[in-house]
Amino acid sequence: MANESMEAGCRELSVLIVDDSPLMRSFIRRILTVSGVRTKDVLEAGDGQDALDLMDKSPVDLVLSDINMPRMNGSEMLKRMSATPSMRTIPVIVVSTDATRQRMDTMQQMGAQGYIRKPFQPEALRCEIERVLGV
Amino acid sequence: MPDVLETMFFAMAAESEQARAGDDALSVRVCFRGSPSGCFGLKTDRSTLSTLGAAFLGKLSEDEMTPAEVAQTACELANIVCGSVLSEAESDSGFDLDEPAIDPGAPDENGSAYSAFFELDTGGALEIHFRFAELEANPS
Ligand SMILES: [Mg+2]
Repeated sequence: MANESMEAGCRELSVLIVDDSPLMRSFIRRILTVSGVRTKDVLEAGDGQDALDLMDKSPVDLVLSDINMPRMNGSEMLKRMSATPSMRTIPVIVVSTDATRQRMDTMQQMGAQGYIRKPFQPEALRCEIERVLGV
Repeated sequence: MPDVLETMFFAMAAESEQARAGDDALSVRVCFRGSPSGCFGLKTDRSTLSTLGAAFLGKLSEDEMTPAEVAQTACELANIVCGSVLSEAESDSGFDLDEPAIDPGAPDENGSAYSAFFELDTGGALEIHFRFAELEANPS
């Protein structure tokens, strides 16, 4: 079962949640817990720049990121991550209300490995994490 | 709209011509840029937002909701509803959403191109309104 494979096949993850809404960050943090994703650390950033600063200090295994954020949006963050050797290989899953084909393609071209459309069911987040991490 | 509430806020909404948010309601504005551009307004009763927010955050009771969390619930709900509607309307083209803001002057039923009214099974009403216009280029 998916839940068992996640727990058996996956090391404990350091996950970074990037969203300008504190409410959405709390929601995603809770969903990670209830859906059985094993986490070592769950870090939070309110925009792309905060996320880059955090990743510079402490490497993470996975980034879950919004697109529309003040100061630095998700696209710019992806661009900077691709240009930074220590961040280039960190998988990013975009979590956005924008489910248009153009946006999904653009984010993928910029390096995002996964995409979840808001609103989403808790299971959808876990499935996408499993798919992206290959567990 | 109903699927947004059901999926993430665990409430059912039914469209109703008579449903209107009350006097203590919060209004949120979210402007969007794409084709078309414009602004979206969402208006909901504070008590309804407390109930929705408590469900969203997994709190045991709506009494645990702080005024800041109630406002954040209104903003996030507006963000998700606006984004979902635009995603369906602009299934190919993409759009940008501004940061949601609490704004008593957000689009309402006067002068909006599209409005819809919902009754929630948790009690209370929710209104959504769209106005379309050319916006100034985003300064950021
Ligand atoms: Mg956002």
